[in-house]
Amino acid sequence: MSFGPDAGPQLLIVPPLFEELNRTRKLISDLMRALAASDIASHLPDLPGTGESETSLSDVTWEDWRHAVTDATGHVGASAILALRGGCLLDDAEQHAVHIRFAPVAGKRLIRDLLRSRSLTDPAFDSAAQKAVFNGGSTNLGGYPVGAGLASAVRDAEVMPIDGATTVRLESDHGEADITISGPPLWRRAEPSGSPDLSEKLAEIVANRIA
Amino acid sequence: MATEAAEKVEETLRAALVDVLGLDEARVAAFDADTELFGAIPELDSMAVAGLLTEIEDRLDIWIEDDEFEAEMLETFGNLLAFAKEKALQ
Repeated sequence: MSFGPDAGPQLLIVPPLFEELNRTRKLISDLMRALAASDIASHLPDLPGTGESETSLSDVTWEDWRHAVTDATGHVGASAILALRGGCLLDDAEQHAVHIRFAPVAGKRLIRDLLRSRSLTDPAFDSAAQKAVFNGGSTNLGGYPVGAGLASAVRDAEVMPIDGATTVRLESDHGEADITISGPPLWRRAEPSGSPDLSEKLAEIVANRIA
Repeated sequence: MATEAAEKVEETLRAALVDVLGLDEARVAAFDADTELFGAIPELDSMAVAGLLTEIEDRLDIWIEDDEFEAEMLETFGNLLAFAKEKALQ
């Protein structure tokens, strides 16, 4: 999905992973529209196995996702990158003058949340079934069939430091940040919703960094 | 000192309920120990529980094991607050 003019700055958005992407879709599309209004084009790629990608997620590897980010960067001629949540685990092969990370999260937190979502609603998802997520076939997590290899890679993935990157977090988040903004953690909401205030603030930060 | 820390836990818990469930701030501010949560608030259904627990963990810097979680915890605001205090202030 792309918005905005062909000329001028091109922002690549590296999306959140798994169900967090569904929950932040409104935030991201509102953000893209706000950026387009400031003449900044933005591009949101579908990672392999998600959205309109024709690959089955159960066949996708972590390296496929990392390569997809690199390929997308070249494809859209990105002059800036904004990675959100788990997207910050995939963005470090790219070094850009403008590189922003919003609410980065370690892979083990993401996996833990996915396992918990399933275990709280499915009594059959016991500790043996939870272990099999990492060494069995593929497991349904947050509506996605996640292969053991991908689940293990996400669990072990850390946010790697990038020189000059700007980290933005919500005020309620304890992690280190260059900029903090107020707003709700939309990726935690089971009912996906947006926050006009939050998307405006993010758009402003991106526009300021690109200017 | 202990009271101040307990107040902080309560404030954090209310803010997490507002932010994760998208509830009105004034409504959550009026919650007392007997306010029923799970089953009484439509926004807090079984799909919403995981996100709420994870957000509470992050904000209070605590770790809730799967076997520590009991449905009773979410019955009332008082129960949830008692659990959060026990975990955060131990």
